[in-house]
Amino acid sequence: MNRRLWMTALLTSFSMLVAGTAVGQQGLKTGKVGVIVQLSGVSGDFGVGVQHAVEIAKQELADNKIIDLQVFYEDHQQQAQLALVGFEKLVDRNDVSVVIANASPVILALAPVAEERKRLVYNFAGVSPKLRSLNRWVINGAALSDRDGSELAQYMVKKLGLKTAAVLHVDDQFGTSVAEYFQNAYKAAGGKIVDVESNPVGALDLRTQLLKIKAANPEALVILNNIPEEGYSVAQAREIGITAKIFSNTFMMDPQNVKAAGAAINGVRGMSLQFDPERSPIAKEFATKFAKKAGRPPAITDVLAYDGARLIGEAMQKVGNDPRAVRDYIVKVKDWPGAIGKINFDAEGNILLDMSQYEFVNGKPVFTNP
Amino acid sequence: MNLFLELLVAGGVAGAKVGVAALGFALIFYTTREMHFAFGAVSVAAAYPCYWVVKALGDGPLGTALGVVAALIAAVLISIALHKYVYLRLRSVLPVVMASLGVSLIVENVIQIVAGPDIQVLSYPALLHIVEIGPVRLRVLEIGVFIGFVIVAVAIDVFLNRTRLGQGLGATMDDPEMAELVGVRTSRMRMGAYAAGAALGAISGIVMLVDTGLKPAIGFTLLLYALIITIMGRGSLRSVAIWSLLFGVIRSLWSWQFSPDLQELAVFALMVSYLIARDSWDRYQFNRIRPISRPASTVGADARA
Amino acid sequence: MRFLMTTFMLMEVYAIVAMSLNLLLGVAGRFSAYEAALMGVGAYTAALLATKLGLSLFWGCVAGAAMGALIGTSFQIAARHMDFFTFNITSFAFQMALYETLLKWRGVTAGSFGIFNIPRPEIAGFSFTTLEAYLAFTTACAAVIMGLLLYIERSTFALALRGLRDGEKALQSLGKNTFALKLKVFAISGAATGFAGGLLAGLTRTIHPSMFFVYLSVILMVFVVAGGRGNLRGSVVAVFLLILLEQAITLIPGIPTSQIGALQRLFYGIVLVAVIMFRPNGLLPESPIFARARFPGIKPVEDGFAFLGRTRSRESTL
Repeated sequence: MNRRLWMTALLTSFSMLVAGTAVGQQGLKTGKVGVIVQLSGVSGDFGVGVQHAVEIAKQELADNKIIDLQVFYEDHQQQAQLALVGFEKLVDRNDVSVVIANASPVILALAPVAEERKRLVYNFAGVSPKLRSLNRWVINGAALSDRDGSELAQYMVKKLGLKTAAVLHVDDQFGTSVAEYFQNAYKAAGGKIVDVESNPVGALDLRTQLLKIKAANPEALVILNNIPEEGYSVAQAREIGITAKIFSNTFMMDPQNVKAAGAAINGVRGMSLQFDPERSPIAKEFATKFAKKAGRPPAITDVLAYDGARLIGEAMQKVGNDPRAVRDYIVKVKDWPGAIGKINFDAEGNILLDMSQYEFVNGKPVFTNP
Repeated sequence: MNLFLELLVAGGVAGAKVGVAALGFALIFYTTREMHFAFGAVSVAAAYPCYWVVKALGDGPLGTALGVVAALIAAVLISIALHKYVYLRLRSVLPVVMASLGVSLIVENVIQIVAGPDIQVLSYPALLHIVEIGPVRLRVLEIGVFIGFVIVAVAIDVFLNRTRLGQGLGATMDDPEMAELVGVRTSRMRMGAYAAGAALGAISGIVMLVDTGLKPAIGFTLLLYALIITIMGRGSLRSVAIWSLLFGVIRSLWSWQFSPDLQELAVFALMVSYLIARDSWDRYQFNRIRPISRPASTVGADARA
Repeated sequence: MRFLMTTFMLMEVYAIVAMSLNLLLGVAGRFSAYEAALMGVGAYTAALLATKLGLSLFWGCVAGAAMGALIGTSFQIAARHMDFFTFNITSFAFQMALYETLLKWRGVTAGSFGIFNIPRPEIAGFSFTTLEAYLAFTTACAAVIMGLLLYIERSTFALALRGLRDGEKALQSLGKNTFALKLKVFAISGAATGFAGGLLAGLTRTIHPSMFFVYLSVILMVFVVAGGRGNLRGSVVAVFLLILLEQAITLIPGIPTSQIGALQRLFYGIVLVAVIMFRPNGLLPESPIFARARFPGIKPVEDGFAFLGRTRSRESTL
């Protein structure tokens, strides 16, 4: 795999060298992209998975002679100030046109600086509703959770008739804003929220919060947490005897969460983006390559990162390295074939993806479109 | 009422988990007077060999036993090496604190580089089986840890008070110079204390491995709890055991009436307040004018003041 | 260029804090583990005043300094009789408590959201928003504060502080009010740290409690120890040198990016242990005129075990 990469790079640079001397432009264009994810610290393996996904995208772009993407990585360790320093480094030292990043606090911090330095930030995984329409320099390539929060609420109250619910959310940007949106939507749909508990990021023992929720006796429990806390929440909820139906979000799909939840995962429902390797040849190929590289099936965020990198590469090939032009190109794509499905953006740069409902049966999610 | 009971039990179990580590740290600290900040990092680091052994040999009884032994050996070796080659070279207290902080950084990050920052868990289905006692549901693991903690605490107590070796250890804790004079081999005692403390730390690490999983970063927080509880128990391992249970229970019962969000803050604030209050009370006692005549049995106490 | 400027400003901020910690730890001999949280308090005060009340960040920094001094002195008042170990652990617990407060007091600090879009200061109509202008601002402030601290280091006040470190009882017998000395040094160092926190808020323009976690306190201690306890210039040198080396680690080819954070912390740990073991006086040792008296009778750290209780019998509990 590595040798192929080297060969490709060698061939591309050689061809560029040759083409550079000629008048006509026949070699591959180059584009510079920065990636800022957490590569160490809490949930560091998330970032490593993203790295694999982006490398796969980069190689495909080179193989298909679309563009030679140079990717530079920075580790934000889930701290906004490190992300800022990384961003400045990427722009100063490597002159990247686009920065791919995740984590809602990071994106919020990068937005003003992106505007100042006129580079594009492509958010592939942060889902806080606060990210909607930040400014012209941020594109949200992940479906923000205000929409699926309200859809879930409607589904729970109207379709399933669950009148009382409790919420357990992680105490950060993402968890708090999503929980708020969900609560408002739930109350608007006619339900009653009996308890809201929060846990710090990275907390693995959620029994205290869950015991209080159990005492409030809800019909449904909504868990809005991170990886792998979600899995532990589910396992511990069942362990202490909560019999309510459990609902969750996209992150429950992550293999780490499924593993942590163990047998308790069966019966958990929610709304999520759906990655189906059987859906299209692109999806299947990506799933195979990723499993070979990373040793596990891809998580939704890996798929989104892969699609984002490919989309950016293609945009750079078509319109050059100007971040504004890249942004306009991306926003205007129609039904772009991504591994996640057909990708569209609204005029403000927020991705429009359809969510599906899922339910875990025998340890695997079963999707139904609403 | 149910909630209260459940929280009480959950708190007791959490206290037991911290208590094993706290007893280990207290053993080391009271005997050697060295503030071994690397204790948490070493305990967590020692549990990794256990994980690797079990992964390699399978989780049957042989694999598990070998894993535990591997962890114990790793912890004991590292701790004694630290004591001999690092702490003993540095005579005074502040350098020992600094050096141990540095060692804790080193150990934690070496483990992170070697094993990755993610959580590693070993799950034993037998241990995760749920048992119902009255209105409370517990896992076998938790019951085991609690019983283990009680056994360890009682064993330490009996050892210190009833056996000759233990009395030597106690003498080293109380007054090392006098103990040396009387013939107790204090340097051996210190090494023994390090070994025992490290073993307890490794056990605490293994418990975490099987419970919620290991991550290099949890060593430091574990250490802080153990350290605070050690200071709160003044020189008596019995009170360390009691304080660790109290610590878990208070933290848990806080959530009974207030938001669980604030339970860490509440516990730290309470501990700080207690330390301040106790200190002022000590001072007050010390500064009080005492009556001249005192019964002979407290002569020892007075002489120290 | 911008990256260099950002790093340089970060160095300045850390240098201020390292110097004030050195004043506390190296010169006055008081252990302090809550510097990171103090920086956080200063940063949050400045940020909140700037974003909520529209105050110029400069006054926010000054307010941060005042808060820092306040917290430092209250801590010292609360802990005045503690022996070394109890003081040690109380300062750690205090750090954790402050950190948790920053995280959980959502009404004021917006908790884990952090505060964004902190505006850079404006003085007399001139706005320091661009990076270059803010660099000038930070450098000017840092120069003034560092100059003040260096001046204090050479004063007789510092001499008294060294006396505090070397033999408190002896100093008391000379008639010095040691309690007032401790209060003053905590106030000064707290103020400097709080101000530096405010500068940091203006630099990164966004603050989050995770920036002020206990690991930062340990790294600050590394700066102090490596530079030389008791020599403030040493702290500045250590900050610059160590941060340069830390950044150099990221430039080593072939290291997977995921390991860089761990390698950097490992580097700090190794520096700390190596310095303590092989060059305990640090890079720039304290001026020999301040060397500890050779008399072995003066042993201030024996007090460290007083927390074990007045009665030393094993049966005492609680």
